[in-house]
Amino acid sequence: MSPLTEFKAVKAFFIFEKDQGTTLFTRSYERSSTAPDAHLVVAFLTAMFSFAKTSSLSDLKVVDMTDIRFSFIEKNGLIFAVLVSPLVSPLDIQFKLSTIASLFFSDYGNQLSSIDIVDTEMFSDFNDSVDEIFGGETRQMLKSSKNAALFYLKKLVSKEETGARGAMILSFTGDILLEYKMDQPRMAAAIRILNVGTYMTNLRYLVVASESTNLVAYKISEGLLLAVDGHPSFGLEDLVVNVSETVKQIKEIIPH
Amino acid sequence: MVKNEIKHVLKILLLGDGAVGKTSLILRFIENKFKDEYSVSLGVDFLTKTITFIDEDDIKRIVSLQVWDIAGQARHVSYSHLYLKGALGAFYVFDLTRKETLEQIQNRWQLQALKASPNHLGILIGNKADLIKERAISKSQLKKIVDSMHVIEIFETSAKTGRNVNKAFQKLTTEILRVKPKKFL
Repeated sequence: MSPLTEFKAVKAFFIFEKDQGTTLFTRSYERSSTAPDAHLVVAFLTAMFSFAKTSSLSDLKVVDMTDIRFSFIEKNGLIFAVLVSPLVSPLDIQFKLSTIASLFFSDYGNQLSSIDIVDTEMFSDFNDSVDEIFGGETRQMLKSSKNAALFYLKKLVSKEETGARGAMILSFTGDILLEYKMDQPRMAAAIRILNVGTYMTNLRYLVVASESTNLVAYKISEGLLLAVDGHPSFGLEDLVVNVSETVKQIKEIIPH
Repeated sequence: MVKNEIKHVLKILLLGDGAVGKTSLILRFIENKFKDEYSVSLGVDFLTKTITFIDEDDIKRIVSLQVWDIAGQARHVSYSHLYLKGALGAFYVFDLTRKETLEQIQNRWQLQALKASPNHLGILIGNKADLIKERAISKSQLKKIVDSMHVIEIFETSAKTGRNVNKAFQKLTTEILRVKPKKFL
């Protein structure tokens, strides 16, 4: 399986009215032959919101299917929805959707409130912002810094005595920026657990121990975490010490 | 007697590290409320508040303030210019009990905001002034630092008690209207 960083993570994005299901904006990142039909998707989502409302599931944010996830936020009666790979960090997507929604209302809020029928052509200028947010990394890292950081990840994982089996650098919202030998199921689990990453303002590191892994998440800076998949038979304290050494090295090469 | 009426829309940013109290300051200013429990802001959001006043030329100014709450971690995203651009003013918020939050304003936040919105006016806000015993930056230290910064004034505020919050917003608004050329408004 290809690493997460090579995934085409975002498949399509939609803005539509929650109650009537009127589509205001769509953007597809698939080839036209495989792209989802925007009207069908919006009709499905509108029906789902209607169902959720009658079933008291009013705070619906994510719907997971086998190979796809719908992630949404609601703002002022509009739904901002995205179809993504289920391996993408839900927090990262929520962060991006929230930003897109704010920019949308800032740019078009006045027009939306003053007319009943909206000419959706006027939103075409919004393509660039959406592309930049979904296409851009959540944390800026220079290519040279990435290469150097990857060297330290490899060094940590390659030495058996460190207890590390895989390592990755994540943005604070779980966007994977670098990865080395992370087992994919554990990687996906780690990203979900690390939804707390954004709450790590005052934490230096976090350890999650289970029968299959000792996961250490160490804060490199306010915007970056190093997550390490440690062998469960290896001492936790020693693993933390080894990870902290790698963090020190990475801190020296990545501008904060 | 009021001669005329002019409407303005002003975009103002609140910038600073996580947990310095940006969302609380906005909540205090917009709704005059305060929440004790901390919850992390996710992404960026903006709220609007309209204030009306009559200026020294007897012109009625109706100002719609678009106040942008930028999550502390949002400094790290590669697309930050999208929401930093077009601002006419910024509050640089730090926590008076955490010195490093002031250093980040000098070293990071202000550079980013000036790059995206080079003509904005800045005000420095030292928040959590009610936590007197935990204060980590003295007034004299602060004065020295502020002199080297690109801000027009500093306010010590408390979102909890409301101290100086409205005053700071009022100051930034009137200064923008006074200083900025008409083409910006």
